[in-house]
Amino acid sequence: MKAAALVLLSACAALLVRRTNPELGLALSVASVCVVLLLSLTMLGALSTLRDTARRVYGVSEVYLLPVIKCCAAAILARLSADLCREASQSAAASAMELLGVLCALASAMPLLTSMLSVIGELL
Amino acid sequence: MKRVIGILLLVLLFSTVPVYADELPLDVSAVEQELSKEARAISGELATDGSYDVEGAIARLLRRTKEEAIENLRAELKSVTGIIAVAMLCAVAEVLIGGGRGAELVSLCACAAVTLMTAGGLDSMTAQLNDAILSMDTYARSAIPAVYSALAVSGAVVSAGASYAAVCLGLNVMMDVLHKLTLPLIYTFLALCITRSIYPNPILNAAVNTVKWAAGTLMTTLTMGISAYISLTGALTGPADAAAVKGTKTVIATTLPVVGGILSDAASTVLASAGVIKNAAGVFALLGVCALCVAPFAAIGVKLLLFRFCAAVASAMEGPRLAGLLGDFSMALAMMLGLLGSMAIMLFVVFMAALRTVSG
Repeated sequence: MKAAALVLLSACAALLVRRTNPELGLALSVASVCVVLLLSLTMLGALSTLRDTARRVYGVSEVYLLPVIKCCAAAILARLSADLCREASQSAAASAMELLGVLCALASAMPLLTSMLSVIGELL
Repeated sequence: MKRVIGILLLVLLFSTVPVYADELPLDVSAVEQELSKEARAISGELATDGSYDVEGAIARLLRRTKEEAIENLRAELKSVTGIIAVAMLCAVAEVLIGGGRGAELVSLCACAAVTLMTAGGLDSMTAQLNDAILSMDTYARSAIPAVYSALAVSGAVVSAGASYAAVCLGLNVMMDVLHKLTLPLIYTFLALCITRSIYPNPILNAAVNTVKWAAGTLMTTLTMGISAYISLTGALTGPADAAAVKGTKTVIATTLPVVGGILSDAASTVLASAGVIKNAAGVFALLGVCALCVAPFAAIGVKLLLFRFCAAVASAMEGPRLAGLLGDFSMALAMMLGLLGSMAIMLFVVFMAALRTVSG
């Protein structure tokens, strides 16, 4: 609720400020995004518990979970950054950011994919 | 005169000597000795006097199957819950990302993680399957000559020889095809399924379906073809045995004036005894094959069911990619089970052909 109220307030404020000072409007948007992200970090505790349970109780190795978490983080950051760039009417930068996000996710998943390809090679 | 005849009869009465029947030149102990210790614990001891406890052996078989299934279930539960945990995490990650290329990459990571987690287990399944087929082949090569030689001694001389030749040919063809074609097809299927999970496209879909069809058709055709060949051989040569035995008995009975009938009946009794030994050995061998199959059947069957369950859970949570991959793994296990089943069915047909043949 707090996050929703904060985001709505900053959106209204940014709308008012943008007429006279577009740079300040963008800075307000970025600030509200950062605050919401910080608030959401506290909610990640439940996910962290699930990850620890998977590792400790079911024996799922960190090698399998880490790339998934890195992919997720890269995709979220890239999407948020791209949207902020679009807000600033920087479509090209937004597309570049999305591309970079995909490449980062791919790079973090590469060890898993390489191992998977070696399993295919062994089967053949 | 009467006194002379009486004394002669008394002399004849006390001049008899004991006569013992010779043992049948028939040794079916290979049917029992070639079984492994675990299989022998299930099948019990071979009794050739018709007192073999079939019900006890079947009860032990069912009990052992249940024990193996529960043991395998306990062993596999941890890995299965690990797969479900990975699917759950990836589902949450995809929701957080909210679709797009990032979500696809997370789905790909889920498939890769599950493949690496299950690769070792699938490897051990194929090794267990290989061992089971080899042990069945080794057992068959010792038990079949014993059972078919008992069949020959029981009077089915022509059909025993012809059926034995057909069985040996069938067994060799079966082993060759299973090792050189069917198993590689299963490996190819697995590799194509894993590749399809990385890059789904119509060409890979067609390749996967073709390989699945080829493996299934090959196993079905081979089993049915070899079974039909063995059955036909037995059916064609059976009447020749009946005619030969009947002709021989008639010749003995008519050629020897007084004792011909007695000898002919004694010969029938010997043939019937050999038939009892043949049936005992045949039934024991059937149960021996079942005992050899119990452990791999239970292991592969339990893993197959667990993968189907995981696929159902993943389809509700994660998405079509991971659910499809888990479904493909369960299909590969079904193919392995089919391969083991076709080998077992062929051996059943071989021993049943010997049991069904009645001569005289």
